[in-house]
Amino acid sequence: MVQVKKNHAFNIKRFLHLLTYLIVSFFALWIVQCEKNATENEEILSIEDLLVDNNEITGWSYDGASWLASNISELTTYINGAAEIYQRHGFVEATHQTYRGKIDNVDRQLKLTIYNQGNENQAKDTYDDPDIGLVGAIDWADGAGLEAHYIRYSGLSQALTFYRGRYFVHLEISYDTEESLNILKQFAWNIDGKIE
Amino acid sequence: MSFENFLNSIDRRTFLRLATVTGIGSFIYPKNLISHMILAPKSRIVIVEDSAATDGLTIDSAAVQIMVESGIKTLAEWDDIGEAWKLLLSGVDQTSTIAIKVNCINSSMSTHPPVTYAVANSLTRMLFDGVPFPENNIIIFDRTSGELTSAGYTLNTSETGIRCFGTNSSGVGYSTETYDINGRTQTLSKIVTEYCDFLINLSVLKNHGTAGVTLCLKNHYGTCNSPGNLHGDFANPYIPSLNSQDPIVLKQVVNICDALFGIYSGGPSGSPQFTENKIIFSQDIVAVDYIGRSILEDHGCNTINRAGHIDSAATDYQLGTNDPQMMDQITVLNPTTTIRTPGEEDPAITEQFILKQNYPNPFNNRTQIEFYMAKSGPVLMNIYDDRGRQVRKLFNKTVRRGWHRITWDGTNNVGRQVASGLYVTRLRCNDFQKAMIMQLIK
Repeated sequence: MVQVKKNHAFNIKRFLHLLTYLIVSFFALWIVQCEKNATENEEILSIEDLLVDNNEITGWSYDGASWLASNISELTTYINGAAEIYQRHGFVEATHQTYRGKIDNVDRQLKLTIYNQGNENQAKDTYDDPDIGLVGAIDWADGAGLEAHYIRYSGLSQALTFYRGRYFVHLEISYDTEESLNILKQFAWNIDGKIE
Repeated sequence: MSFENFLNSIDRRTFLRLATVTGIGSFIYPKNLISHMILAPKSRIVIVEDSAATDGLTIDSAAVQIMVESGIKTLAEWDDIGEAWKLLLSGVDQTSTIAIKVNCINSSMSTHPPVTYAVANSLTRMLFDGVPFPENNIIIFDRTSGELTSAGYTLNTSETGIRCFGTNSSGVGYSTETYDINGRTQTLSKIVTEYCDFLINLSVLKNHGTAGVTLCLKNHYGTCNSPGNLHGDFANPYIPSLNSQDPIVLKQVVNICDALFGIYSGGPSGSPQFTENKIIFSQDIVAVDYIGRSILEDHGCNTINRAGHIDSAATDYQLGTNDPQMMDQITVLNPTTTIRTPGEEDPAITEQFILKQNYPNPFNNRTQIEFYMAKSGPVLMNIYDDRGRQVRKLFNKTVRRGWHRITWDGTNNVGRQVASGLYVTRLRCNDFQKAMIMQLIK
């Protein structure tokens, strides 16, 4: 009887060891898998993946090909002297796509440029740089990114910028109405969702 | 060395600089080689403004055509657009090639095609033995064909029509000769060095984060092969140095700034931020940029203080003047409401002969007088003082039917400025005669 009790106690102890081992192993595997997934996500998510797809926002399709600038020289080729603004805040890479869609039955052009500025501080510095051209812009509270604002040039155009993480995003549209502003915001939400 | 030998020993560029400084050139240099406008003691700047030019972002090409022709005619002080261009493009003939450098780096705010084509179309109004200047001898160009296309230009490398292509177009490229741009080696577009005899600089009104502004002077960053390394030190003195290179300074005869719209913040990128409805014309590139910079400053541009290259271009490179006292600034307001295209009859006009009140009036140093003729005929216009004495024989020739504009610069028959006071313009045509009172205030 005593022997039976001893064996039973032994089995419970072994069972607990085994259970602990299994739990620890499970968590270890889970952590490894999470890290692996994170790495894979980073590999998959290139800056070009952040662009809004063709007609992803209904009625707004690609207007020409996108470009990718992987260094300041390439960026200068695309945007000329404006590249210096991004260079002084740690430019890493940028991508651009122009879209075309109708507002008030007329074709309008929307331009999206996403800059990887290396880290969040540099992305914010870029956002705050007056040379970007949004001096006097209206804060977009609870908008996209960590901070966002937009500016309206009466009857002509609008621009909207925001940053999140290492990305600074610049949007502009060749029109100025509530509807065009709404389109800009839709683009901003879309990109911000992908960065998150 | 005789004076004639001395003249032969110096190149045209040196002569122009000497003549500008001394003011003697207009008396001694062959008139068919140098336009009298270049030698004028003040730089003439014409600003044409017309509210009919734009509606939102839409540009009225017909209005722009009138604005361009009005600007060129006023700049040359000649009432026929073809003859005005001939005065500005001294020595031009039907075999000449004229290149127009546009700025298309930002497709949302490029030199607008309606302005460029208005300039090109007006060039074809030059007649040589009754034959129009060939369209195919006009080249619209920028750095790349892709940029031109994105900005709305139609590429054309064929042997008919106005040509349009980038320096990167097949078979074009950059010069083999290198140019020292303040220590940076550059090559220039062959369109400037080899293809063209005359160069028209057609810029657009934008600010620039590095160079402060990007107007006519900076427009030639699209003419050299590697502009990226010319942006240090606020692009100064790289910009004036580039503009002082022989192929540019010798061939560039007219500078125009498309200021229909402008960007005052965030440039050179971005979309139009304000409507200005102006086009600026001058043979003095520095003066055009000075005016452009002033417009941007008026709109609150925060990069103006970086645009020192305009002042360097004037003081260190003698490319023009940045002194408003040395500018003869003329504003032409709403030409679409006052000027009709040649041969076009205004249906509202039933009179044979109209003399409009001069503008501005009162005036300080220059005023414009417009008249309408229902049919071609000889016109005589004289100016008299308030005691009836003739002061100036202003105009005496046969004109076509339509509207005409004459400028009086406030001088008498011997070229002296007249005193403040009232003056009478008397216009005679066939059996008709009309008079108008003008007031000169010094």
